[in-house]
Amino acid sequence: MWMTWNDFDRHFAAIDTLRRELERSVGGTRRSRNLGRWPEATLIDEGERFVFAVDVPGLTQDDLVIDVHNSTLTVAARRAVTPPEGFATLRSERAGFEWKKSFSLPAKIDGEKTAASLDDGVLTIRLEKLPEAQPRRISIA
Amino acid sequence: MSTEMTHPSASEPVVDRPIMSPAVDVFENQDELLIVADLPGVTSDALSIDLEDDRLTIHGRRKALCSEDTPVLMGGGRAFDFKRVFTIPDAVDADKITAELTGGVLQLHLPRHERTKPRRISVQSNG
Repeated sequence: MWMTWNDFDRHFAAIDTLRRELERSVGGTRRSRNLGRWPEATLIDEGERFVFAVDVPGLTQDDLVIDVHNSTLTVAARRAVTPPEGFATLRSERAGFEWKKSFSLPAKIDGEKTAASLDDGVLTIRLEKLPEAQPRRISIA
Repeated sequence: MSTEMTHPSASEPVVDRPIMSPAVDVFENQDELLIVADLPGVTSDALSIDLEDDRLTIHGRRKALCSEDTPVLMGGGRAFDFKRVFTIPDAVDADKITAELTGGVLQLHLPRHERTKPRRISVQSNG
């Protein structure tokens, strides 16, 4: 059954109204308060390399395992959050976590030149592309 | 855009940027309140902690991972602001509040006033 254009409009209009109602009730104050989660992992393409960054607050290198195989990057992290000795907990939002993420990168990586650093609770991995995968400018003859 | 339609008289931010709320743990013992916040990617120069009356505000900016025109395959990478506001009980000695930021984790120590620390009153018995 094909929906007519009018049907589409009406459906989207209903969703739009719902969204506006929601925004009005949640975002009543001036500030657009994003109640979403703090962004976690990012992967960007800098041409010569990929850069992967993930938030791992409070972790040290012992809590992390990084593997690069062909063009697959695998990162594993583990955090245990223990309350400090002699304190009662009034609020607990910072969760412990244990995860393993694997990414298939869209270009071949030079494993030898891949480097990782851990600063301010962010793990940053620079994955240099192999020479044949480097971007190149094609000139028009 | 939709702010105009629903609240024509509300003031709008000049730049519509989302403000993130960091995850926070709060602990207490008889000496202090301890606030621990996850602030990955934030350095002390990008963090402000302000106390006004009984409102403690933790706020700042996390810088971008890359420039606007770098292709993002996954996730964010953009700069954003963060903010969290707490109401601090009177029992806290504001002059003695200390903060440390290490490995993307903020530890805020709010010591109790000496006089408000719990104390046991010893009872003398007479006769």
